[in-house]
Amino acid sequence: MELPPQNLPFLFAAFAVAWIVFFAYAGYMSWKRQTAQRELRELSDEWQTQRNTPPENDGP
Amino acid sequence: MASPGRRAAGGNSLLRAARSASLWFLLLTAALLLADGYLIFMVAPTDAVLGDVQRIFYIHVPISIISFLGFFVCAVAGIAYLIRRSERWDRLAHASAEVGVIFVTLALVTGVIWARPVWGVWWTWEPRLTTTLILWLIYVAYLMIRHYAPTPQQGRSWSAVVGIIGFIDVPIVYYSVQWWRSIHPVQVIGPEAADDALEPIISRILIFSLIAILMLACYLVMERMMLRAAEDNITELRRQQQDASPDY
Repeated sequence: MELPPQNLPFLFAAFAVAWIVFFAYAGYMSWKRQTAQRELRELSDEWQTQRNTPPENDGP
Repeated sequence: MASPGRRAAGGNSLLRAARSASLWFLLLTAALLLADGYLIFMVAPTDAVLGDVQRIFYIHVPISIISFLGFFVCAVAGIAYLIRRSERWDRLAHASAEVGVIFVTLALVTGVIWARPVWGVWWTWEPRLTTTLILWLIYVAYLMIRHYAPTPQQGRSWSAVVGIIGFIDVPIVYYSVQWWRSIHPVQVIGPEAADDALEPIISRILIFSLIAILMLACYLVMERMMLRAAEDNITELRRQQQDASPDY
């Protein structure tokens, strides 16, 4: 009886492409989100500082 | 009205809670995907005719089905956005479309890799492949419209319309193998699949694979929505700062 063809490189390629794309996309999302959250914190702190600083008194 | 700082702080605590939930979801998904890998490579029987390459089927089919689901969610969220004009619906539509595009891209790529040893060609203009490529183009256009529209508001509305109309292609893709009989295998899941289309063990592993990859898709959509929420908060905070202090 003839054995079925294995074609393992194709099997490896299909799974490798799928997992690399999933990991790359998830990693990119995570990195972008952390960057956005850091920026959000900085902007928020900046806003608080701006509000707490008394306006300059030009005098009479 | 809450100050931008307070809004951002509230947004931050919500984002922290969502981040913690998403971490647990990710761990559960990773465990399921590991188990799925074990089932695909160690438990699933080797195809008597096609050999080991047929194992691609266990990711190709779930990825394709989940891309359809992503576009369905995008269309429903697009309708809800056009009715309610709520940012939340737009975020869901955007995230579902983006994840749907990733999935349909992978469905095309894994299909092409499977086709080369089985059909002898990388690509052929047969109905299933052609309609899937059209689906990919429609939702790439959806993402481009969002990016290049003159204003964000127009981008949201126009892309919602494209997302709704574009969904018409999904049933065409699904039924293409019956309407235009071709070399692509017939459906193994869904309303047109025969009851005995698959052996029970293959069917069970395919369903497990579908659940594991669906969890991954949900995680990616949640991550994308949280990123959009953070980006929207930044834009809003900047806008309010500029309004409060024109020299800022």
